[in-house]
Amino acid sequence: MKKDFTLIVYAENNFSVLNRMINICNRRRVRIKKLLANELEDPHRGEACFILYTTEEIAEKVQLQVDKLIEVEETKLYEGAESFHKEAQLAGVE
Amino acid sequence: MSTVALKEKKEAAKKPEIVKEITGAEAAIESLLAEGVDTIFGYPGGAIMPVYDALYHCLDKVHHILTRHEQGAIHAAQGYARTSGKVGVVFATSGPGATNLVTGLADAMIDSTPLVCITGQVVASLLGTDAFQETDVINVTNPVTKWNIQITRAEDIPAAIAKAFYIAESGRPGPVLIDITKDAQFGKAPYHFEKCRQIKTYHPKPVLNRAEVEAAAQLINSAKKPYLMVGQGVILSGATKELKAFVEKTGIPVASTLLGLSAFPSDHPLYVGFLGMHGNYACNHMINQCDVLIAVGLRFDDRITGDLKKYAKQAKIVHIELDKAEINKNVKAEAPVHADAKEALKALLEKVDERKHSAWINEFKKLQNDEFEKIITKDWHPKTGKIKMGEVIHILSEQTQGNAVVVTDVGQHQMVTSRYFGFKHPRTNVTSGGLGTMGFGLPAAMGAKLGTPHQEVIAVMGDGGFQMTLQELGTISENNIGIKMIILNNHFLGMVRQWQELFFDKRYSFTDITGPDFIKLADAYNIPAQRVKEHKDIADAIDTMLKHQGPFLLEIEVEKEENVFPMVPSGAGVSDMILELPK
Ligand SMILES: Cc1ncc(C[n+]2csc(CCOP(=O)(O)OP(=O)(O)O)c2C)c(N)n1
Repeated sequence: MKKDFTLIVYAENNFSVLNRMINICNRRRVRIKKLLANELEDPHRGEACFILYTTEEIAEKVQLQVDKLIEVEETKLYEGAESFHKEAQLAGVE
Repeated sequence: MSTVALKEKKEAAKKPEIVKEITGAEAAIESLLAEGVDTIFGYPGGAIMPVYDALYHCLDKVHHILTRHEQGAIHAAQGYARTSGKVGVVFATSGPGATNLVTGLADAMIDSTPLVCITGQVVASLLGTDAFQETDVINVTNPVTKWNIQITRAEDIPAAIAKAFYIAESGRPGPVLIDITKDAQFGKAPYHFEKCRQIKTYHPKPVLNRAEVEAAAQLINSAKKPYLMVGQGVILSGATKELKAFVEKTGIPVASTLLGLSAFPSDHPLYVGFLGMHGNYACNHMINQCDVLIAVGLRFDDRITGDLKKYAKQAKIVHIELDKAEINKNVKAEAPVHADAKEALKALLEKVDERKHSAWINEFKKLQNDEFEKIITKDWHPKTGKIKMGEVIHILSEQTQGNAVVVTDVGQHQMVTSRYFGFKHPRTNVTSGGLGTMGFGLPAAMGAKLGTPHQEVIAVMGDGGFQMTLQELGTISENNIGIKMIILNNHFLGMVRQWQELFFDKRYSFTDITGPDFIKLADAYNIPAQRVKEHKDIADAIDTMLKHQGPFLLEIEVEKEENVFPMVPSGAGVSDMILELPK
């Protein structure tokens, strides 16, 4: 069953890494409902936060594929959209 | 040493090292040399001219092969990497030069081949302006590279190259692309090279988890009908010795994927065949009979599994794989071992019981005999009619005794070669597996030969695929690259024609292909060639070809409408594999 998942990614802030993350979702035709990307305090690091609408199985596979990207430091996957909104508040967006 | 000399030495040690300033282009070449690169495949153009100029001064240290097309360069680099185990290096210019690399990048990505491609780019101030020969190569190549980077400053080049090599060859290997703007190539910066040994965010080698090994060993030891399948991961991790020791201790039958061919000697009594859509009959069927399926260094590609809903449902699966994202991607594993194949097999070897599985192995025999009688003998020894591909490959295998690198293109000839060539030594099978790229064979064979000059390298191609990259005959001739080329000419795009015959009521829509006179074509490139039309001439012609020093082209006219059997029809399960067409 499809539902919302929040995928949080911490990565090196390199030009192509955000595109690579989006490509992984697109290739699997996973809908990105929301996306928040911001530089962290250290400008060499960034955070991307997605709300993905998909099944649990696919969300986990997407997480593993994103995790594999060279610049990606850490990924976290949560059910639902709350974690996204928390991150958005922290980033001062919501 | 006198006190004066000692003092002078101490003074010298105190002075900071004087780092020379060189151009970015020179730094690129110096960095490649520092990485131990001996061969580069490439094609020049405006945006990469400074790098080519720097190369011009170093031709005593590195060999550059000018191919006739950038696709040829990258496939050659793939062949070089696959046989030598080193990183293949490619140069191309911006725009069309870079986009011509895309097929090879995609091929290398899916087949885990380590490459470093360096492309020139327009000057940084013109980026994004649709300048002459500007392509957004970073975005174009994002999905088909393990990593890529655009460099706009000369001082960043050495570190980028060091990082590129580390990424390309570590972990699950793959292609990397560095796009360097022309101003960065011209710009000057102090040169300093340091080999990259780690990247904070990248962990290519998982730590072996003893509990995972233990769980896998327990499953293997408890199995009554264990079955082992091996993929290219075994070759890439250099685990062929460990594999053999493991198999011989456990007595488990072994089958191979397309890219796994050559990881295990095909004449070994425990080898049961080649898996996949056009693989061997018994080994595909028995996937649905075993109780424990051990997969090492492979990704359960759909050409191997057929319909996943009908794949190994009765079996418990042990999956040894370096790439975590491949575990449970297609097939759920009861005992995953996230590890390098060599380390995992070594650790398992200590924990598995010494066994024999004679009754279980005998179960393979009946199906093997069926295939032998219904297909193999007919392919090897056709009594009448035109030459069959199987007969040619059988003779080639006998004559070389498996002591050759065999490079195939894509199509029926590829499947027939994979079925009938007796691979014995690792890294002797070079083919385009995951992408199935027609046109791969000829340039990949050139690279394979340059990667392992002491080996006999034989390219087996169809008349269709050969015509996709035949311009590389120019490169072969110019550099006297001694590869042997066999064109199995059926005057058709055979594999597609077979599907049209079987699944589209024989509507041969654009698969009937003409070609030039291949003998005259070879002659135009000063390459000796011979055409064979009769069964009786095959052996002598192959012998002549093998004895010839330097490149040689052998065209063999084969049956036009031969079908490759057995096959798992598209969408069917491995147990639905058919030996022949239902009457
Ligand atoms: C670049 C590319 N285009 C199209 C295909 C689809 N395709 C797969 S096999 C095949 C036929 C190959 O014909 P040929 O090279 O003559 O080899 P044969 O099958 O006759 O041995 C085609 C067209 C492909 N694999 N690669």
